[in-house]
Amino acid sequence: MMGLAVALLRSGWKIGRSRGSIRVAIGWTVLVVSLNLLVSALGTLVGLTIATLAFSICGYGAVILNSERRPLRKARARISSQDACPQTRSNGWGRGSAAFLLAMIAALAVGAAAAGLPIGLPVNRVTLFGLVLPFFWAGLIIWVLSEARLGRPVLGLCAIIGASGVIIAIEVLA
Amino acid sequence: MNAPLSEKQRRKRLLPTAFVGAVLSGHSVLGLAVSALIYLICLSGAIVVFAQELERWEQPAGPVLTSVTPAAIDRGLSEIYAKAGSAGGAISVQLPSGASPRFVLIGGSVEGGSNKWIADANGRLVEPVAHPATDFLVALHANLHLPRIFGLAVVGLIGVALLALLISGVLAHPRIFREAFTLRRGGSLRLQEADLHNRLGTWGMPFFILVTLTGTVLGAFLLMFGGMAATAYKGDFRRALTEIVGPLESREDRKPAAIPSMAPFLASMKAREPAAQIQSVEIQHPETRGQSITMFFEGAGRLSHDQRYIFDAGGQVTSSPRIQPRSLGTRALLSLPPLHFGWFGGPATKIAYGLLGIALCVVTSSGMTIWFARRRDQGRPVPAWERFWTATAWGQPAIFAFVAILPLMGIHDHSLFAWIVMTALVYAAVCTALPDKIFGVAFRWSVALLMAVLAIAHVMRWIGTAQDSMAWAIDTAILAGAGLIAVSAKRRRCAA
Repeated sequence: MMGLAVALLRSGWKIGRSRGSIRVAIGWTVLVVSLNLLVSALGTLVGLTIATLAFSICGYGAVILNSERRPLRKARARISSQDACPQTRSNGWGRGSAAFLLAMIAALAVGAAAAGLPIGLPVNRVTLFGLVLPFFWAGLIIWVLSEARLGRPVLGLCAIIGASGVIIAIEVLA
Repeated sequence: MNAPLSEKQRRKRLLPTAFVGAVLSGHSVLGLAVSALIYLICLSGAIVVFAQELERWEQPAGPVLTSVTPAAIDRGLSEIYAKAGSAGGAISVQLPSGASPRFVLIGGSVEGGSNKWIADANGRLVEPVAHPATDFLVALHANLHLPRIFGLAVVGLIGVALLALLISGVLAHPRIFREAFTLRRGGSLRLQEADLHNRLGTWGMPFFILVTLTGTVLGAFLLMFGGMAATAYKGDFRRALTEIVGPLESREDRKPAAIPSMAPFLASMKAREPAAQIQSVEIQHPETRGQSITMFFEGAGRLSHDQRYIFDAGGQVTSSPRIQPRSLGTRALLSLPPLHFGWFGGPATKIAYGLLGIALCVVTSSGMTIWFARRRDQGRPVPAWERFWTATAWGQPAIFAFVAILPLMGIHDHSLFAWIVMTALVYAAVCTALPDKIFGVAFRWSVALLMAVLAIAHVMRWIGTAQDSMAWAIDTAILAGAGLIAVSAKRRRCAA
């Protein structure tokens, strides 16, 4: 079923957005139905994981079937062009420190502040925020590395750390 | 890396071009900074998925069993306790299973000896467990051979960086759906590598996020858990650990007592959980009145890594999933290791994990290749860095094969030293005068050659004495892998 879903998506996207939208919609529907079947047959975690594996492998299969071969061509060397390479970025060490150290402190502070909120069992809060925290942390790293000016994310991270610190202090003292 | 867009298409973009450019810039910087470590962790991880099979491959001569009797367990426990004492106050047995058909006994440490032994069907110790190459790879993946806690945290941080790369990769690719099936081979190298990078990344994304998230939480657990437990449990770390992993210590009665027979405990377990498959038995504080017996089992339809019953010496159950049902959070946390390593669904799941793990290595490597090609297109090539990357991408598999050959030559204890020396030699080769194209091809041939030597040396070492057919299956797989790499090296040489 996962293969059918991927095949429908492939044919839908191939013929274009206007005419292929029905196939794409059916493809997504089949994908959701097969996911549901796997989850009900194997349990939530195992079902979701097997669905993930099947989705990826079917997708790779469809991409290989769709691949095209072109004659080898050497690109002409240019002297300059618009580029997003690290040389256009100043403050390499500062940016790196902010991305890894400051973002880590901010993410951990937010996690600690969130885990102290009086909602549900502590173990569930620790797990939930433990699983969400890496995404937040990764988002902060992307923010620091993507901003043209380093000052804005640094100030933002300091503000996040400060706010989290206040919340943690209130939680601990309460 | 994308073809120019028409005005109409540009308007239809979901994300502003400036935002996409900024995220792509961050993606490049982060990728350049950590890709070598990500590659090392992903490559070792793709192999470690098969750790149980590799352990059987490294030591195929011990008895292969499907089950053992309670009397054999009793005898095995007595023998290992007499031989090696108790490790951290515990002795344990791992029972034969489909994934690992060995009866393994684990005791304390013995000076100059092993604390893990393979036993026969009667519980007699046969030979010490020895799989240095697998142990080397597992430690490399888990903590990069750094001091345990620090290494785990470093791997966790690399996991966060990989997660950031995955998310920024999606944000930096606005035509992710429209180009979901486009793979152009040949043409310009940059376009080819960009297609490969984007397609492998797009379709593998759910799996990549799954293993990266689980790996990050496992690696950086103490880092994250410390702060969160401080507020969630108001600093009561003991309570936090007890809620997550269960009771930490058994009763503190150290008066001498005999190790009880396991038969009644196993019967009691079977009566309570008829569908359960008992995986291992552990005795805390053996030969004392306070000794407790823990039975770890695999329940039908459960992924949790830590399903267990704890009995006191008198046979009373003191902890079980029925007495203390796990909360959703605890079950989720204990499900992370099997989810991360793919140790839950049999060989097909492991093969899928292994292949997708290699796909993540290819994504990492092609990301670097795109950057090198872009630099060349701009007239600013970085040949030294290209060679450095080739040495990393092809040197590491060659070194892994070399490290696995050493125990076959009787060298068991120097895997890490050999890895450090070989890694240094591989990077020293970057400075040689070998032309760039030959440099890459030579590395590919080295990997193929070392893998072939590994499989042949293994067959020669174990032919006639191996009892586990897994050894031949792995040798065949290694030879097939060597053949595939040799074909790719040959094609590359022809193209050059």
